[in-house]
Amino acid sequence: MATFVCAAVVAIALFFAVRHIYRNFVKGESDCCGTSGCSCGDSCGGCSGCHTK
Amino acid sequence: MTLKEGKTGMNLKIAAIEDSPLKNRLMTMGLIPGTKVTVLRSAPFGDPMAIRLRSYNLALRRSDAEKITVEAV
Amino acid sequence: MSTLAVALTGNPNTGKSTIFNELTGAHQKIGNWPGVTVDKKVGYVNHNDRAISIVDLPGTYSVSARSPEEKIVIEYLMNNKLDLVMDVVDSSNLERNLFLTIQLLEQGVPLLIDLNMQDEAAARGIHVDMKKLEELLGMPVVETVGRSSKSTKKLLDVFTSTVMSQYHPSELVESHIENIRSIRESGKTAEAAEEAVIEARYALIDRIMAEAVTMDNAGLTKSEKIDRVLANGVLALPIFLAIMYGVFQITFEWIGQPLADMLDELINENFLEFATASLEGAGVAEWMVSLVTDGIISGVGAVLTFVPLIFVLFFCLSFLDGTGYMARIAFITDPIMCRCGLTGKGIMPLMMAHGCAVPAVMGARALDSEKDRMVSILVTPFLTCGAKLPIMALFAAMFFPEHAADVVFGMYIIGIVMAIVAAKILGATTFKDQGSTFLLELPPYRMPDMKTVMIETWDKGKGYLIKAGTIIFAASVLLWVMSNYNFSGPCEIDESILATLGGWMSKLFVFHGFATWEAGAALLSGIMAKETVVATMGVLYGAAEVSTEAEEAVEAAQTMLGTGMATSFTALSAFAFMVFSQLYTPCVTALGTIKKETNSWKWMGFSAVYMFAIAWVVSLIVYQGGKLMGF
Repeated sequence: MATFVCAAVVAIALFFAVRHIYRNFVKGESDCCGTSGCSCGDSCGGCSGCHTK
Repeated sequence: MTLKEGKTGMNLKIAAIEDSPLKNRLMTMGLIPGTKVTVLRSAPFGDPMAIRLRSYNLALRRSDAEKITVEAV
Repeated sequence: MSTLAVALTGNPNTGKSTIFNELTGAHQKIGNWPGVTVDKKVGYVNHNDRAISIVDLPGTYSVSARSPEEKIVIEYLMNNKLDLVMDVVDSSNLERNLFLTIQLLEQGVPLLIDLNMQDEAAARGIHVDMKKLEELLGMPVVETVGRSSKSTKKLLDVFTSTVMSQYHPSELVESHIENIRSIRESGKTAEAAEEAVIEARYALIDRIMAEAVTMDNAGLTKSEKIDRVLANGVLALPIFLAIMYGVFQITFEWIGQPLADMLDELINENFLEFATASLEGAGVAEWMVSLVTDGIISGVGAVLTFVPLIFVLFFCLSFLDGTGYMARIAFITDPIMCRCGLTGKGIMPLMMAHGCAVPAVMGARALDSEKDRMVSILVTPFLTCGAKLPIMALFAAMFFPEHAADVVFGMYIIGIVMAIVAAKILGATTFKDQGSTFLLELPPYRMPDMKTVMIETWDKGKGYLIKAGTIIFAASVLLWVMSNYNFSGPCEIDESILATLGGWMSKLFVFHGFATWEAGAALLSGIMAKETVVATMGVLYGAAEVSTEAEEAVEAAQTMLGTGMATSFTALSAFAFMVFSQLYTPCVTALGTIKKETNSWKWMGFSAVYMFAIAWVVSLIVYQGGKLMGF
């Protein structure tokens, strides 16, 4: 019984994880560090997108 | 002379900018004929150079600065 | 409650984001603008019975629609019914900032002009007559003093009380608009007309400056004095290296590593122990306990342990970014980057690559020439991204405990040197030499706003957490299955599927000193996501140890990892393994991005293969060379 509950929890978690990965893949997005960090705003030298371009 | 030959501390006035794809961008950044610029310094090995104009600082390469004709103030 | 739609616009480096963060706090949503990878930030706040939504538009110098950001700004302002658009202007740099203001007024945008950084302007002897400016432009003008949250909060009152329909462009602005219309209709070529329009705008700005602004010549500014040291002559380079070295010390010695050690103890000792005991107590089958503890907790835990390092590193980089030093880095490294076949501006994507290669590859699209762009995309993945960092940190801590920070710093240097060498070769062979330009504002030095730094750090670091919960979690389960089963059922770990695959892979490394199937499996899984190299090590060595010493399972996973790994690697082969991990094939996400940005399978394949080959050769040289030198 306990094994079953445990397996179910892992399976559900796994389902959500895989769904997230799949959705990312379909949408062509990624969770990588920094992908959402930069909007060429103020303190963003890390982004050369709009510096005088 | 051109801005390329500008030495640190020189006060100059822009006379003309040679036609190039860059001209429009330079003008947007405030480099208009008549604008006063001061040469601030150079990066290591002398290129690019930093200039002061319209109360801000701008860095540009000497090869691009060559396209800007200036006269001493 | 009635709503109020506000948009923030302005030049880069005006403190716009700081104001946005101050106004909306944590209530912001980050998304993408349609079709482009530029962040769209929207914040929500209730004030005076109004539900205010604030959009932070990308900072731009103009709205001539030359770059994706400029297009976004102008299209958003034209196509959305906004109650109010606030143009954040740096008072100490009014002349250039007004260019955007004038351009927006020409488009008939209802502008509220915010003179930000009034304190800084006053310190530089610049005094702006707000009443006069309001009169000259015909639009309302308010002031803020940068980081004072009190002055920023006042803006909400201004938003709710200002009725934009009461304001109309002044006669001066109207006649300017008339003037540029006649220029455009004068029959000049498009280029000549555009230049004449720019000149007309600056002529108007000169007039406004003369009437509304007084300047006392206060001599050298503070930024000037700092730049004399930090961005002047050859001395600037060692200072740059010293600052970067300082960042590493903070991350790996002073703050990041101690925190990581604490977290490690918490997860891999206390929590693992607790989970094992409670699962066994509840009568869960042995294989299930093994999956949860050896598989999931070891795998995800091994990656989670490095969260403090990642966040501390991102904090340092965001902080440096906020000071304005990043632009100086581009300035002082341009001559070197130029000689390497890159541009100083390219240092920005390259610095970003130390977070992740994906945004760096995307960031390369802002570079001026096709050659700069391609070279930058192809060499970026050599650098030590946030996901490779755990590999380096783990091996360095285990095999070079006395010099961990130095060894990791060395890995960063190896990555940078390889990137430079590759750029040089690619630039000289594959891509024909084209001219490239470099035009960059050097913003004044500022003390960064801590709230903004924190928000940026979180934005950049949270992806790492999400990955730990999704791809690393899934990979850990998969790895556990592959390391405990083969096609005929449960088996010993060294007969498992993973051992077989890793065994094949390891054949490539017989001369490298790490030809174990564990190393092979780790590297293979690393192509999925680099963090999994560490997760695999966690699962493999953790599992191996637990299976033989079940009674001692309470022992720290770090130590188990240590003993298992310590026998598989020597210091030299560990170093060779680090070098290989540093340089080999980018992860699938990065490869996917390369495909998207270069629009070519060929370049993606090239990138995967040539990096593997280079990693193989360099790592071989390191190992064999090291052996010859007697290490």
